[in-house]
Amino acid sequence: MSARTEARVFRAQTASLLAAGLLLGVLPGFGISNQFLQIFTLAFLFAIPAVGLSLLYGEGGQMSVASGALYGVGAYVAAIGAREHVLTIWLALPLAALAAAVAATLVGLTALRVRGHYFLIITFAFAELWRITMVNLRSLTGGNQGVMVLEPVTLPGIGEIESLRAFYFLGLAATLLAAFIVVLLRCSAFGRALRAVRENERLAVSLGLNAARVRLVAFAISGALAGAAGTLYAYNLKHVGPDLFGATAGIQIVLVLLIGGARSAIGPLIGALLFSLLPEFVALDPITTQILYGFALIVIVLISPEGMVPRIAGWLASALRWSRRGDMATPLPRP
Amino acid sequence: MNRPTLSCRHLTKRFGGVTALDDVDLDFPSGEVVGVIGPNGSGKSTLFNVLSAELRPTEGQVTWAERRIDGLAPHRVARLGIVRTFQSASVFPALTVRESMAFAHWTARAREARTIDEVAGLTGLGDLMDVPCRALPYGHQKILGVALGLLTAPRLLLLDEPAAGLNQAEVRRFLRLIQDIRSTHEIGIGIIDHDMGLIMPACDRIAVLNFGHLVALGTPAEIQSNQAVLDIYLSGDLRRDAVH
Repeated sequence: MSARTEARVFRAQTASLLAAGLLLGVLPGFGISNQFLQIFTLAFLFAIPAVGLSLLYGEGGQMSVASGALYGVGAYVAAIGAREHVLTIWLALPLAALAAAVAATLVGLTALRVRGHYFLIITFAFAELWRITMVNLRSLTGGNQGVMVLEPVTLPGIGEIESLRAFYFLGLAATLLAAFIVVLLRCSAFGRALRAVRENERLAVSLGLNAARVRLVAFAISGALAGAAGTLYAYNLKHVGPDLFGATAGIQIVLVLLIGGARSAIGPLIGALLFSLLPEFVALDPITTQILYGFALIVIVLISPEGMVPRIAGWLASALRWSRRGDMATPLPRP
Repeated sequence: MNRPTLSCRHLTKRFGGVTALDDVDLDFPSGEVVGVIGPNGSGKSTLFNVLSAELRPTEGQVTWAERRIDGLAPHRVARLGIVRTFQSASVFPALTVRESMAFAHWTARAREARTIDEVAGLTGLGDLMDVPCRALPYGHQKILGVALGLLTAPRLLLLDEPAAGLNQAEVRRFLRLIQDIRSTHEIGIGIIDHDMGLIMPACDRIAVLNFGHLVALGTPAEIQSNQAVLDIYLSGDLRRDAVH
């Protein structure tokens, strides 16, 4: 994206977010069931770590499966803070984001010398280490039982928001905000520097860029977004447990991103909605679903590492002889 | 430090048992064009890799304006104004020319850099600004490498084989570009190349490396008549190529 293209991408992606917000904002008005409201809400909360990963992978070309564990960092900070009566949700949100950003920075510092697949392996090790620590640090985390969150969500001036509908809007607003932050970063000089590192790190360094720091900051930002989403998750489900936030969750977030597309603003949201809604409609048992997700991941990575939805849209567009914009069509390296 | 000099003293680089650079003393003052020639494997690229801090010297030191810079991170050396280009064309494949230039210009945000339009005009890339770098012809990719370097407001440009892979017309363009840079920018230039049609007219001084040793240093005329140099280039290509 050149300066001109950056402005165009910014406008298009902001417009797509507004459209998605409008569409999803009126959806509860059509009397959808509480079950689906909750599925949508969880999809929103799952989209946010994927939004963070879209910065690291979509712009920086660096894949990670740490998002699930960083989501967990935020969830546990919120849950333990609520149990100990020291944090409300609004205090937990920035603290959880900060804690997850710090965790990502520490992981990133140990991993600064490696990139690509080697970094991916380190994020995998971190994710499992985190899960195992949460299982075994019983006195703090409740081990396999996890932590109950009994603290209510209160909005100043409005009071407790407990309805599924209220949480739906909270989740939607948070997702749109996270996506907009990433749009701003994508179209900034920082986003450009990330792309330069992705395209040719040696050249970027030779021109004076501290490439390691740029990658580290991107990883920390993706962690902060995941951590904030983890807080919302803890307050929504009212329970956090270790198995929700290991490498498996990290891989699911990767899948969400790769379904929806890593270069667009609404890609992670579309990916999360497809990921959460499809099993409901197809009515598969969880084990078959897992196996199918595994297959889907392999197929997507082989066919279209930049994302399944953009690829299908691309096929449709070329079938309709639409011209495609150069930058967005650029294939990403395989994760 | 109006006219800083990049100096290496007793520079030695060993890779295991191979000595790629052996006790090399060489200066790159700003305002001067210094050529580095020598047969393949004589240590030319290793020299640039050590100067740009991509490699650490085994012995000896590199100073810039009297300050040690060996051991600094490569991006720090670049920020001091010592910017190198690469032997094979090195671009950001998916980025457009304009975005690449915007990035290079941004890395120099703390210094007074030429504007993107100025550099695009100087390098003749103005009509290709919206082309993805990977779609540029090879010669233009190499010129883009120089343009990106210029946009960082360098004090010293190190060009690693700019003419390799270019045809004669492109080499002449490159020579003109180097001469234009000299006349418009107050910077030093170091050039590694095998093409004497580029080196001889472009350089004020030429250093000759052989097996990691600095065997000769002098003006183009001195180098062309230096017996040690002629012995290295047994066929006498040096003299023939220099005479157009």
